[in-house]
Amino acid sequence: MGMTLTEKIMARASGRDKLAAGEIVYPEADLATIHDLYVVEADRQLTELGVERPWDPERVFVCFDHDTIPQTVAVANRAKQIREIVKRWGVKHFFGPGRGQGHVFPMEIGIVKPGECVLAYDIHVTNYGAVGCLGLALVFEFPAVLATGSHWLKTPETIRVNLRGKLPPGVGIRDAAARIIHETGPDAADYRVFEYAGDALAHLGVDARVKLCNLPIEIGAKSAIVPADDAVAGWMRERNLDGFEAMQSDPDAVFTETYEFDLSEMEPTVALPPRPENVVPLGEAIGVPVHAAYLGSCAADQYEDMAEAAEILRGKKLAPGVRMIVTPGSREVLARCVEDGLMDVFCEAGAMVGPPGCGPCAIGRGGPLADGETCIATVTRNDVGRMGSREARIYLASAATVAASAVRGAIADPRDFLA
Amino acid sequence: MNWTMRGRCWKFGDNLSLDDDILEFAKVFVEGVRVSDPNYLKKHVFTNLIPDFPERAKPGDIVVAGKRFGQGNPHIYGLLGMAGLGLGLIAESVPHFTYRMIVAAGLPTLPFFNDIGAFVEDGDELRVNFKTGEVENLSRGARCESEPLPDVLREIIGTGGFLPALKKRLTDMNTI
Repeated sequence: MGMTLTEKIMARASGRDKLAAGEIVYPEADLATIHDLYVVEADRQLTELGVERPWDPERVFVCFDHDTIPQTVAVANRAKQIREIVKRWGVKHFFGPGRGQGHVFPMEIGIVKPGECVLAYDIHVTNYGAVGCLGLALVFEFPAVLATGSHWLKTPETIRVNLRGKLPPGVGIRDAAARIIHETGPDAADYRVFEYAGDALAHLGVDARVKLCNLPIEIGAKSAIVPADDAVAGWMRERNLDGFEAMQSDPDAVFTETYEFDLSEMEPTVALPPRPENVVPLGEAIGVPVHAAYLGSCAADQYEDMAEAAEILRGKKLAPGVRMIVTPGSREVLARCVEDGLMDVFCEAGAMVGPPGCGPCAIGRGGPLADGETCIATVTRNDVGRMGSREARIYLASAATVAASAVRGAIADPRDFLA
Repeated sequence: MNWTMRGRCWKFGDNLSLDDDILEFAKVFVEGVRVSDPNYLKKHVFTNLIPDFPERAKPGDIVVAGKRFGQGNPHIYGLLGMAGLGLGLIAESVPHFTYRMIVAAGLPTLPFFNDIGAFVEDGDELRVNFKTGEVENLSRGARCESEPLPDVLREIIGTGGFLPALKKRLTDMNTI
């Protein structure tokens, strides 16, 4: 019997020739990633275990993306403490604040590569699936990885998601990804990997694939992956990154379920508060007044997202009383936005541009919502309190819909702006 | 560890969120740093639903939840707080990642108990054996059972959760 791409990657990382879903293994991390909110806690736990340094500091990645600009002295003190810990650990891949969002820029600079197995603290590591890398999160159990390089994992089953067709104008890949998690649903997604295939991938670059790999984790998927292909090879060549050996699922690999989606039939969507799977056609929320709009987070902070929003915002102003924050995903994205004039568009529209990183998606950091406010955002989740006040409401949508709503002052259809 | 617990049933509905219903995530941070001490976290468990829950709940009490208990970003802190209060947990279902975090928190559980909600009411007196999966409703004189956790996972809970179990593994591996 053949293996899925996930089984192949986990088998290689576990020193096995064959591996099947359901088997429990200890894959060794090619890279172990953590972010600033967690370093101090991790160090405390390691100290409790009697471990002074990670198993292999050359394979540890730490970045500041949650608290990029400390808002309090306590947070500044913590940042100082993190730098001391990282130095003591001897971390090879350390990136300070402003470098970017940790689930985005490591792909752009080749720290994560196709076919690798990355073990992470944070669940959004699944983004790396966009370049054919398997990201698996362990959250609270992550000290096991820092101490030993591994931890037990049950090999997940894989769901095949076949995509065909091209998105209509004004419909973002985020809309399609939202529709996909809505239709698969939490019960089918639980502890499975979404593997994408189909003709549509020829039109979907790495930026688009990040959205496909980011959203499934929100409904309980273990990971998501797109086999690295010519599109990824071209994307890597543009960035002077080394080539890779293509890997894909065997023709006789076992997929638990197969879903088919035609992108040409997709429409704009919105996820109603307070859960990301509450996806409805955008029409059901049109006209809901918004106080804040946010473009960013690891679910939508790459160049294509910025361009999608700028297309709507060009030559327009934010509606009176609406504030908008934009956080590019990396220094590279920010620089390209400056070069291509997107930054002018954001500034002239009246939007604020924050430092590359997680932005307000991280519990409102750098721009929390007030009681009774409504926000339209590209963030990962819309739980109660996710962006500040527990009395605020968050609607999740594509970059284009966020931009259109910011201009209208109420949830709006971006297609109305593309005449 | 004594696998039998006796106490009050605290009955909740479906889809309890980790980051707000079980424990508001913002409360995990003290001076900007996350706290994973169950003795601190227990003071904030379920307070968005029942403000005085931490004072009223007693060790041995059983939380009985519906489907998808602990949905959302799989932050462990509320589960650590529940363990800190000495509670047990029965749910109709939990997402897999939360299942893993329940074990890591050292919280005795029967996580996939079909229709448990039809068998208990809030305030009932329950006796639960987490080793056999048997639940007695002492208020109603009825009993039912579900599949208990596999021994390998129950042993992690018995050891006190993830960190004590990892410490034991590291000692066994003789890496420290």
